[in-house]
Amino acid sequence: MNAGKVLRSLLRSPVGLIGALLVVGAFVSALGAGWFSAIDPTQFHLRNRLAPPVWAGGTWEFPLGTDQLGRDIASRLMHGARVSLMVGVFGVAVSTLIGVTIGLLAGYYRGWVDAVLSRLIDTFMAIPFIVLALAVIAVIGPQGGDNITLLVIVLGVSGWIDFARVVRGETLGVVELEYVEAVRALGQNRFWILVRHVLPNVSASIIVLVTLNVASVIIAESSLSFLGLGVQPPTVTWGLMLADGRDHLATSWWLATFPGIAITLTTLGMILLGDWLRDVLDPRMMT
Amino acid sequence: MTEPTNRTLRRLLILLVLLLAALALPATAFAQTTPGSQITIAIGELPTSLDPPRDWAIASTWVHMNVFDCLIWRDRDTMEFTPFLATSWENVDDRTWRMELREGVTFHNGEPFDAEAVVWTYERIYTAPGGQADFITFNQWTFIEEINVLGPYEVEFVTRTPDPAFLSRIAGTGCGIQAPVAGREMAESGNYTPIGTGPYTFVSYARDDNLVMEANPDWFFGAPEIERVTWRSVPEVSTRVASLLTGAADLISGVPFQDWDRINANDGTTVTEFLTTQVMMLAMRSGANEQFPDYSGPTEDVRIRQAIAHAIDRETIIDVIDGLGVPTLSRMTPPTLGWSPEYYDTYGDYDPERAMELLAEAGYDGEELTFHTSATWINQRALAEVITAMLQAVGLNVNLQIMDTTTFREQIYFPYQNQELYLDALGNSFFDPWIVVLSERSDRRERSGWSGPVADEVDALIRAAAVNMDLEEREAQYQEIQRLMLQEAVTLPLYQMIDAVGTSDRLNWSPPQDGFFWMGNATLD
Amino acid sequence: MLTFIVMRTLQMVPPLFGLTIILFVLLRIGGDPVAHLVHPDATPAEIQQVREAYGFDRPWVEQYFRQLTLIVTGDFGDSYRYRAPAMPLVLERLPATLELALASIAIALVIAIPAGILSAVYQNSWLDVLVTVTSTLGRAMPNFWIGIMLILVVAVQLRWLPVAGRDGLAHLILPAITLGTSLATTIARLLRSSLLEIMRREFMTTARAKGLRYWTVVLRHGLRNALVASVTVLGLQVAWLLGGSVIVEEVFAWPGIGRLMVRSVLLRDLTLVQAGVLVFALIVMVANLLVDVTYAFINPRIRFS
Repeated sequence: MNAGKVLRSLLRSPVGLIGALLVVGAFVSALGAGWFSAIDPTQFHLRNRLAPPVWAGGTWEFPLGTDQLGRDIASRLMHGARVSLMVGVFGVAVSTLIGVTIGLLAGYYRGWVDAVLSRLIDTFMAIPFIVLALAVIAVIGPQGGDNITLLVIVLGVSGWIDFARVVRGETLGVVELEYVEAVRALGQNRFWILVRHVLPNVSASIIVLVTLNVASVIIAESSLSFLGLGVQPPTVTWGLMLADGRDHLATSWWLATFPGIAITLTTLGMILLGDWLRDVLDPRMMT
Repeated sequence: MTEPTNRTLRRLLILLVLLLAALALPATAFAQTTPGSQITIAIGELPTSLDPPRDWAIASTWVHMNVFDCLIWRDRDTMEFTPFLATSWENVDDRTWRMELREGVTFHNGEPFDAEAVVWTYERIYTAPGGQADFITFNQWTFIEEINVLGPYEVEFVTRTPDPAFLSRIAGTGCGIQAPVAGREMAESGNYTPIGTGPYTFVSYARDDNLVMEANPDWFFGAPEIERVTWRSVPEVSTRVASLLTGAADLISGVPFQDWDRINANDGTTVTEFLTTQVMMLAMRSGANEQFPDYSGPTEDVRIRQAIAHAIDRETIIDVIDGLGVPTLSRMTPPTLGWSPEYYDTYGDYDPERAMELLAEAGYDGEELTFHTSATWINQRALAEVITAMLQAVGLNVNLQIMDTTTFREQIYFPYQNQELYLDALGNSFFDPWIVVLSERSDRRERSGWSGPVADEVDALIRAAAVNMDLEEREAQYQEIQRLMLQEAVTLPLYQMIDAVGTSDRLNWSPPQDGFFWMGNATLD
Repeated sequence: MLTFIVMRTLQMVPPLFGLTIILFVLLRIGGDPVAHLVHPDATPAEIQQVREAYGFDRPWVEQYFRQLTLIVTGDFGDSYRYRAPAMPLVLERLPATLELALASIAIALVIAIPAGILSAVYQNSWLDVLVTVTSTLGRAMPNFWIGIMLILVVAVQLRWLPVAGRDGLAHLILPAITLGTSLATTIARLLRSSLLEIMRREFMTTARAKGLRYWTVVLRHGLRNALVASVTVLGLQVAWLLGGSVIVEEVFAWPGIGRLMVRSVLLRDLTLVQAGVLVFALIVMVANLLVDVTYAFINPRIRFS
């Protein structure tokens, strides 16, 4: 299926379209954070602490209100989008790289390579994602000064299993295909076969997994912040805002509600887009 | 039923609506008050050990002290020493203290209390072969050289050095007297059960969940009125507040400011604030030392440290923490000996212009100051950000590094890798000044690296005051120490922390000066 | 069949072994737990003494093999924080975690099965849309967020259910709903799509041609096949469920393994973390074994492949 067809199909599908719009919206606000908001997201306004949103008695100076240090929530949301999406996208990139490599190798070489890698996948599959992430943080936390990189590595290293499992399964099937066997018979370089012939055949599943996993990673980031192990200020992410705001939920609802909505809408967009992509690209796949 | 039709779908819709309506109409709301003469206390974390010398976390000492009695204890309202298992005490000479013990007291298992119990309780700690690996409070008890039994109800303590803090220590963390016969058996079997003489008897403990104790009918001050106390571990603040609001808990710890109004507005619950012994402080490194021999940085220059002191606006800080602190320039807070209105409850000398002058004088040229902090304490993260802004405002180049508690302890605090600045709060459960200045004794400057003539003078004063049995002289020494430390801006205490508890109105108990959860005198309506 | 079960069980050994290595490496190179074992005023000499007492100063390889030898003999070492054997500490919380997990699965099934069937049968109706929208929203919201909302609305505002803790059935409901609804969204979605696929297949048409009543066909043929698919997914979801329980236990002060794990990781209580993760992994592996056996039982061809 070519890009034009996919686009036309997207325009016809309300679900996919909503998903795509939400995702594009999140990226636009992240990229345009500097232009849209004139207020520095780390600037304290100690006279205006916990100011409510404009429709709940606030002023236009802080349209979505301020937090406990009087920082502008609207501006923090947009700057937070930047880091949250960055963590999501790069985290999944790490997962994809590790998972696809292991999956391809296991599925293509089979034999003892597959046996060893499959046991590795089994081992990691038995450890719950968040527990694994906690353990990884325990290791690299202290060394990493830049905690966004750290988080990307943590979430990436913890999330590769899905990719490895699915890609391995699909590769096993692709290798059986007649033309791949034919190319093999011609004595082509193995690496070349993997990249040129096998990878394109499993790319549909990878695209779907990537989309859905960005959503999981954004949620995981907020969960780690909830446990006190996410990014640390002055860096701001939606997860951190949500986790920080939770103790104010009953009194100053806007602190946690807006980042909560932002996370929900963005992950919703990713999920809708992912579901739609799956229907279009690979209806058999179950994730 | 045949093919699915719109009619069946409509029926389903009606069913769904009815179901939701039924859910919305429960006959009675969930009733959840603890019945009868019982209370439930919700705190963040329950003890990891029920053996007092093995767990020194503040909330753990609360649990311990409801089961155990000490020889002498501080009255929690006046902070005066009160006779508990000892009925009287006498300072015979500089190193000897004699105590008369209360007669006719029995432990919860029926064992009689006598001088043997005193000896067993403390010898077990200060003679432990593993030291701190055996008992976390080990250091605190090594001041005892020996305990002599003068009679079944009379003991004599001999201290290693003259010890003016003797009473503070003997009433300090982990002081609960334990039943010796049961204790020896438990040491053999390895299964520990707390057996004391205290107001409450231990009943059961489901780790990290709940701990139950019942009134001790034979307590020597008379059986407590509350028959049963259940301690629950509820780590999430919002969940703890919700427990109080719904009546599931009668007493909760650590109520954040934003929930005060909500709890006070709720029918039957109240917030009460109290002063903790914790002082939040901005600590600095004044130089290299054995643990960090390669250190060199701007805070070595006393003028830069003084500039930092002038850049700190404690008034704004108190505002940022919602007023939950008393500004202080010293860790000696009342009623600790040596505290002085000169250094306590005062904002200090906030003067950004003077700060900039001092920086210019010192030839400061944008050298980076690394500022480490964890987010252990309430508002600590916000506080670190505000302080960073204050320092930046006078032209200092601050690199703020916020980390989780564990990372801070493992990477900065215990390997003594703190650089120019770090933010932390330290307490003083003894109410004696020796512990708050210990970090500036010449052999204990792992984190400050302070040196020079003033530092030497302070060192001599710290050592002299620690063994000075003359109260007035000792007080003067501690005041001089505070003055000198302030003069060289060694550390910058910021404020004494205020905390708050939430109580249900049926419980007649209000937090004492240090917020200690001791239920021996609590009653119910 | 027995051979299959034995084989499948033996296959669990290498991952378990791999796990001990991974855990040891992960946790041991991270930090030095001695920082949590001493008083804030401890001197460097005292810190070193404690470090030696616990063997943290020995070479890693030696520490690993010492630990492994003990594990093989069933001794997982002592938790330094509790100063008690680690495995019993974990196992005493196992009932709480299993209780929460099973209740969540039960709630998930109670919600997901009718929702999945109805949304497939009434495809594209308002009901289908409702199920799809709710389940998608459920996937998009962090667990702890749902939990805190439930406490605020159901426990604090309406006062229908207790807030937190573990003290009878009423306390189980909110945490189980929090965890169960997320699982329900996955199951309902899968049930719907596999039912739709099955209903499109020929045998359904044939069955209906034989004059069987519509719902009999849906429930007997369609549902049975769809449930097989769901069971497989449930196996994969156990790890996810346990991960979610870590968060939910924290929100609702539920005294399970998850909460113990969070505290232990934060404070680098290595032996406890190791025992805890091994128990988690065992639960996941046993659950997957059960799923495989069930699957092999239903579908005999799989045994020989």
